[in-house]
Amino acid sequence: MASLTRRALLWSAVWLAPAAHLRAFAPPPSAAAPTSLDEFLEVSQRLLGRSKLDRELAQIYLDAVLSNADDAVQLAYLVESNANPTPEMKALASTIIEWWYTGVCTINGAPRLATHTGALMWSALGITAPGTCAGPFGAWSHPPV
Amino acid sequence: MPWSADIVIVGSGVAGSLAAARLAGAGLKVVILEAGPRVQRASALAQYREALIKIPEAPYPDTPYAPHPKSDDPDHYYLQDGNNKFGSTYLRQVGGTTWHWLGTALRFVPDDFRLRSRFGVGIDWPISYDDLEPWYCEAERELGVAGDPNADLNAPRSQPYPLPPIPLSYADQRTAASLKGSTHSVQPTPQARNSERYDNRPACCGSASCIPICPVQAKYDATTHVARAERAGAQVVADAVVTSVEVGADGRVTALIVKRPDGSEDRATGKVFVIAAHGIETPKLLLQSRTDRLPAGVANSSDQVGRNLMDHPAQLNWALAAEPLGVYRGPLATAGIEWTRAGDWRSEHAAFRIQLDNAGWAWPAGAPGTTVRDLIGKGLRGAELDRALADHSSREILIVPLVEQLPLAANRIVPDFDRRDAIGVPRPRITYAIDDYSKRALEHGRRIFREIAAALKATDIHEAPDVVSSSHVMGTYRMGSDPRQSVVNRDQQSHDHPNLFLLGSGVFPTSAASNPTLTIAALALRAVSAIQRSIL
Repeated sequence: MASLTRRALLWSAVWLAPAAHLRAFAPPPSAAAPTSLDEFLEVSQRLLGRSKLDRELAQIYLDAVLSNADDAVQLAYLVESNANPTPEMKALASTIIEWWYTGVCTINGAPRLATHTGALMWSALGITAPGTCAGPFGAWSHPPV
Repeated sequence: MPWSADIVIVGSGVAGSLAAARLAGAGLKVVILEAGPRVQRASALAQYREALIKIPEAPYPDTPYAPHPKSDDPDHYYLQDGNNKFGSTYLRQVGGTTWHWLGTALRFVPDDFRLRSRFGVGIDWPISYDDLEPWYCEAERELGVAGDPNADLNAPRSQPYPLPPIPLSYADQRTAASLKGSTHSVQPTPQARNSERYDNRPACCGSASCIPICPVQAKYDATTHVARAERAGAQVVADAVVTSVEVGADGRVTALIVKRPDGSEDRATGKVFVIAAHGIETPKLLLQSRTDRLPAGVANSSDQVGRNLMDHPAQLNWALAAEPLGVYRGPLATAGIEWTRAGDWRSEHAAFRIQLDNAGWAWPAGAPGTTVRDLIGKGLRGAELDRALADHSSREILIVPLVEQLPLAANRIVPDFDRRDAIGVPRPRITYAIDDYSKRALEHGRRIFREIAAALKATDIHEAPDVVSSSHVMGTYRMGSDPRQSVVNRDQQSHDHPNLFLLGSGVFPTSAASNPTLTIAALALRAVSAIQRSIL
């Protein structure tokens, strides 16, 4: 349960955000509190189409989103629903997907490596992350699966 | 603490450690002074994993007392003056730059040793291919070279490779098949990478990270010979920056001045001195050792120390093949086009080779991360994104021509006495340019890339306009018969100081078009008996 104080903080963030970031002047989501880890995992699962995601990584990415007041607002909208998303919601959704795939997030405008081996792009490519043994000698000479 | 030994060696890379292992094994007292620290593989691997930008230097410490150049910033350590930035890098740590070399272990071809007499350009070596051939065999055994005996590499062999070949990547097989019938036959690359257990190191596990680090040491690095030298009784002193070479009135080197990270100084004395600190630090040390008696520096009566700096200028060309090739798997390169290393046209343009890279667009375009961003930007999500990413990545080809450079006196490295590092040692000032002889070869390389791209029915074709460095630093204390034109003789012994030997690719009179490490190793092994003979 989010505290009233947290709700108030997010309200402030909404009011401080440029008008363009407000969702078509709709009232802010009723769950207008800083997104919880479970909520962020649920959003991530929905965006990625994957059920098993690393909680520690999720916490890093969540903290990165929440470090930006505008993004925190957009994340609250995404928690509620990603039907009829605004361009701002779409942008944040893309960012979250990118972070999970590359293992690199952005905090205060600076890129930060969250994980090397846990970046989803390696498994999407069907390989292990560079620097980790890939399997039997000579496997690279076989056609890709 | 002062050191004293029969042989004092500066540098613990492939040249210094190979010589040390042999000399200590022969019962001589050997001290190796290494400017940089000892590095543990596990901590280097951890640092690599945690690095945001995975440049070749990413896993390794860049200490204030032994700074090294960085691939993503040519002005990090070098001070640059020339038309082209010199982008080649090296490491200063126990084991040297072999920590992040690719592992390519090609021999030079016979014409590389007689460029002047055959083609009227460059300068001849004081030794021939035949002189070096037995030492290539030795070097291949020491490093553990896996090679295909049927490969056509224009370099005659008297003995077989010690290890069976590394299988070609699937991409290389498909490229070879696509080029069948053309002049561009794809040849398996000899590699100092284990294809089976050798020298107590395992076979390659396909980590696809030869540069910057092999996690299991299937790829040879010089820590192998550092350990062997230590087992034979050699003393390895890390964090020992040699700042000056002292020469007596009789012309013999008497001592080395060593600076430690805390600023304290020591001396190392010995009967024979071997400097094997690679193509920038070795000439810098000799030049910064200037005195009233030797105002041009040590070993520099020829004025050739620091000159003739060469690299293998390279070009990045990349495209998207029509079919999945399964790149991003296995060693970073397993094959190349090699016929271009030898030919009668060398009077007109440089020799070159073409490396078929095996890591997709990682180097030229930051893939696969950038591919992820592009595909997400196109709205792809979930399984569709995975499929598109796998398909794109699998088809990414990178073709890299590496070209020979001629020795040019104006291409040089000197110590800058006004710009010093954290412990007060002059930083390297570099003047470097790429001449038309090399540029013409780059054009030929690009033409062959286009033929390969066409054979693979590739699309999305990119040709980087800029030249990149290969981190092959050569030529800055060259060997020769004429003391007026060269720094060391055919045994890599200084023309000026009989108890001083210089090892490493700095002795190369010309650069050839092959990766230098095997030739560095062969020359170092060849020098060992002369070093022993020089002990009075």
